[in-house]
Amino acid sequence: MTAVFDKIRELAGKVESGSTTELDDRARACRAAKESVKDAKALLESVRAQLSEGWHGGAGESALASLDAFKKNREDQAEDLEESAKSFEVVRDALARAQSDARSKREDAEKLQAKLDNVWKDLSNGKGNMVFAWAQDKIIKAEGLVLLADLQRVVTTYDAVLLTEGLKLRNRTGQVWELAGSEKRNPAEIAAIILREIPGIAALVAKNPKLDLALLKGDWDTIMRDPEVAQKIYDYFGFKYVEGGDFYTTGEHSVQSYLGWHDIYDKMEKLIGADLDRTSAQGDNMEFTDPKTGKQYRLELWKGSYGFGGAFGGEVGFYTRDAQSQDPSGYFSAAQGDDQIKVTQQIYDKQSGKVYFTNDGQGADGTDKRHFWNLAIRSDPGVHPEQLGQRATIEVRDTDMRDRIYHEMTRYAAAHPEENLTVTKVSDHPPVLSYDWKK
Amino acid sequence: MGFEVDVENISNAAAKLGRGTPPVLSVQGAPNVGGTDRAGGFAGDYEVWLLTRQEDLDAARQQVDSLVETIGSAAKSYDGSDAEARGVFLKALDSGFGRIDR
Repeated sequence: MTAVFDKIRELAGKVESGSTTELDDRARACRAAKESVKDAKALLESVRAQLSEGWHGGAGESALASLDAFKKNREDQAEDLEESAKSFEVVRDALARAQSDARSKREDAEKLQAKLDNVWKDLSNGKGNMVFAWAQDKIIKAEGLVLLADLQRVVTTYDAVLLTEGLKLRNRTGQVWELAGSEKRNPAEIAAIILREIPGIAALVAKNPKLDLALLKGDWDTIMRDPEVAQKIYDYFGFKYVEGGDFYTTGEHSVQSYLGWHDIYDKMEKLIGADLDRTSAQGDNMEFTDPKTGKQYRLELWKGSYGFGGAFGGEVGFYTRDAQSQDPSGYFSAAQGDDQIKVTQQIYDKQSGKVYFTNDGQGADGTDKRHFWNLAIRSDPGVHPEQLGQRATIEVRDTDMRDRIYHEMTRYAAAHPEENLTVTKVSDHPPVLSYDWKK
Repeated sequence: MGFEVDVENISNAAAKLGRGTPPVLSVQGAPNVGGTDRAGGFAGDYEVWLLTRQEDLDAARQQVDSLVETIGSAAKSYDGSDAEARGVFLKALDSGFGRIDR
C-alpha cells in the first residue's frame, strides 16, 4: 500500500546521509595544501634569486633553468589543488541542493501519506464511503508517484554532478603525473602506482562476502561481474563516455599511454572479461620498420565483446619501439607526436550491414583527432560479437608511412586469409588507407 | 672573495627552503557524499585523486630535499683558494639539479 512512500523515504535518505561538511573539509584541505605549495615556491624563488646573483655566464645556467622548472611544477601543483577544491565545492553545493529538495519531497510525502491514512481511518470510523475512499486512495498515490519521479530526477541530477566532478578529479591525474615527473618514471614504477589501487578495489570487494571469498580464491571472473568493481577498473583505465555516439572511448592520458603495449596485456583479456578477435594470428603481428630511423611500428586491431558479454566494440592501436630500445621483447610504446594516426573506426553487423557506431577520433587531445588508440565500446549485452565487422580509415603523416602500413596489412591479410581483411589505398593528399575486417 | 658571499647566500636560501614545512594534504578517506548510485564511483575517483596528489606532494618534498642536499654539499666542497672554485660550484649545481626528477 505504501511502497511509493517507502521508496521516497529510501531515496531521500540516500541523499540526506551525505555530509556537506566533509566536502567542505576536502576543499579546505586542498586550499591549505595549495598555500603551503605557494610558500615552497616562494622559497624556491629566493634560492633562484641568490643563485642568479652569483651567476655571470657559463656554469649555473642549467641550474637556473632547473629551478625555473621546479617553480613551474609548484605553480601547476597549486593550480591543480585549487581546481580540485572547486570540484569538491561543486559537489558540496549539489549535495546541499539535493538534500534540500529531498527534505521537501519527503515532507510532502509524509503529508500525503497522513492524508491517505486519514481516508481509510475515516472509512473505518463510518465516514465517507468505499467508492470515495478508493478514488482518494488512487489520487493520493498518483500524487505520490509524481513526488517520487521528481525526487528521482533530483537524485539523477546529483549523480550526474558526482560523475562529472569525479571524472574531472580523476582525469587531471595524468597531467599531475606528467608534471611530477612521469616522463622519468619507468613502467615498473607506474605499475606500482596502479597496484596501489588494489586496496580500493579490495574495499569494494570486502563489502560483499561473496566477492570476498572470490578474492581469496583468485576468482577474478566473479569479482569483475560486480558492477562497482568493474566500474572502478574501467574508470581507472581511463575510459570515458561519448554521449553523442553512445560508446566509451579512452583519452590520450590513460594509464596505457604511459605503459605502452606489451603482449602480456593481451593475456589480461580474460581479467577484464573481454573475448576478442585480434590481429596477432599465430603470434604474427602487423609490424614494420622504418629503414631511415630503424624505428619499429606495430598496428593492432581488436573487435568483440567486453565486460563479460555486457558490451561490444573495437580498437585500433598504433605503437612504436625505438631502434635502440632496451625494453623487453614485445614491448612497444604508445605512438606519440607525428607518429600518431587519425582513425575513423566503424563497428557494424556483418550480416545486416547495420552500423552500430563510428568513432571519428574521439578521445584524442585537442582537435587534431590524432591518437595512438582509437577505442569504441558500447554497453549492450544483446549483440553477438561473432557478427561484428570493423572498418576504418587511417590517416598518417605521409605517403611513405601510409605505404609501409598498407604493405604490412596486405602481407598479413594474405598470410591469414581466415582474417578476411581487405585493405585499400584511399588518397595521397591526405595520405589515407582504409580496411574492412570481416573475420 | 665576492663569490664566497654568493655561496653563503645561496646556502642560506637553501637552508631556509629546507626548513620550510613540506606541503601535505590533511585529509584521508573519501568524503561521505551519500548513498546514491554514483557514490561508490565517486569514492573510487577520490581515492585515485588522493593517491596521485599525495604522490605529487611527496615528489615535491623529495625534490626540495635533493636541492638542499646538492647545494649543501657543493657549498661544503667550495674552496675559495682555488681559482676554479666558482666554476666547480656552479657546475656541481648544474649537474646536481639536472639529476633531480621534475
